[in-house]
Amino acid sequence: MRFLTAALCAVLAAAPAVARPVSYPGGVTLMQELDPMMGSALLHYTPDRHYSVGGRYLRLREAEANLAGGQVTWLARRWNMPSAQANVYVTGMAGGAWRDGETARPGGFVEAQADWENRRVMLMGMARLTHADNLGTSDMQMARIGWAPYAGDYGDAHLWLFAQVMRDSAMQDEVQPAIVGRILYRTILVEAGVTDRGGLILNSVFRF
Amino acid sequence: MKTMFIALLLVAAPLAAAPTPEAVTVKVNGLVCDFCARSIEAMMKKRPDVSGVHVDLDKGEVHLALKANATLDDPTLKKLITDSGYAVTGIERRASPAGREFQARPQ
Repeated sequence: MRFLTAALCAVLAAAPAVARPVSYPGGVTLMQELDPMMGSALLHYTPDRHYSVGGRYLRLREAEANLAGGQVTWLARRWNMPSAQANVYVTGMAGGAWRDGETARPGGFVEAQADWENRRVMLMGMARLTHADNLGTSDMQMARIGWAPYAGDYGDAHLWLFAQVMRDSAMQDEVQPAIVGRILYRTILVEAGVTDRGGLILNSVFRF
Repeated sequence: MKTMFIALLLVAAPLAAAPTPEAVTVKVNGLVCDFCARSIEAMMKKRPDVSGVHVDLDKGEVHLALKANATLDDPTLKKLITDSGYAVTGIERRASPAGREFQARPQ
């Protein structure tokens, strides 16, 4: 049970760091994550610049468990500065969690995320409270700092390097560091990284 | 001579009255991310009055080429940029006889 909860939280931790979770009116975004423990997909639609709605599915491979549900993200505040942008998002997800062959029970999470970036530096922090009737409750925090080796022009491929730390109550409160590389090209974002324990991180985002 | 002058006027008049495409430069705050700025391009591509769009991340500017006869007023333009996620700080317009004030991205 504890492992399942830990795996669930570890999976959820990676998702919001990938990209801006609210797009432009009419925009559709597909986000995918993969690591040694899980596969995940989130498809969201932005009807208004203030929020997005979508559906998320997670597959916890080692735990043979699943989580699926609807997700709403609200852009609570945005600061547009001459050479930087900052955002605060609040996200809620509600759905069901189940192990293979078992009945789904209600589950979901609430989350707050903040970021600041200019063309060479990015800071991001988030906190999440997760609960599922059959998985328990846990809390998690994560922080990222990113650096772009160069400031590319519009249309160029853009490279970012991130250092990331995460603390999870379901993982003995251990702080787990990771390094992640990101390439952006037009409406495609791809990330690859590794945790300090050798776990592979592969994320991608496609915006339509 | 008089006939020639009238003929010249008849030929030149339509040319003089021909609409001149407009080039618009929008100064924007928050324009730091290529991936995110694609929202501006996506929003503008929906417009029948925009023939080209280019984003200058260095200057924080969005450059638009409007089609001949097209008008895109400031409030509409400001709303489009705001909906894309950015803050407009200024709008500059000028005639673009050649329609090539910048390297417009064909649509």
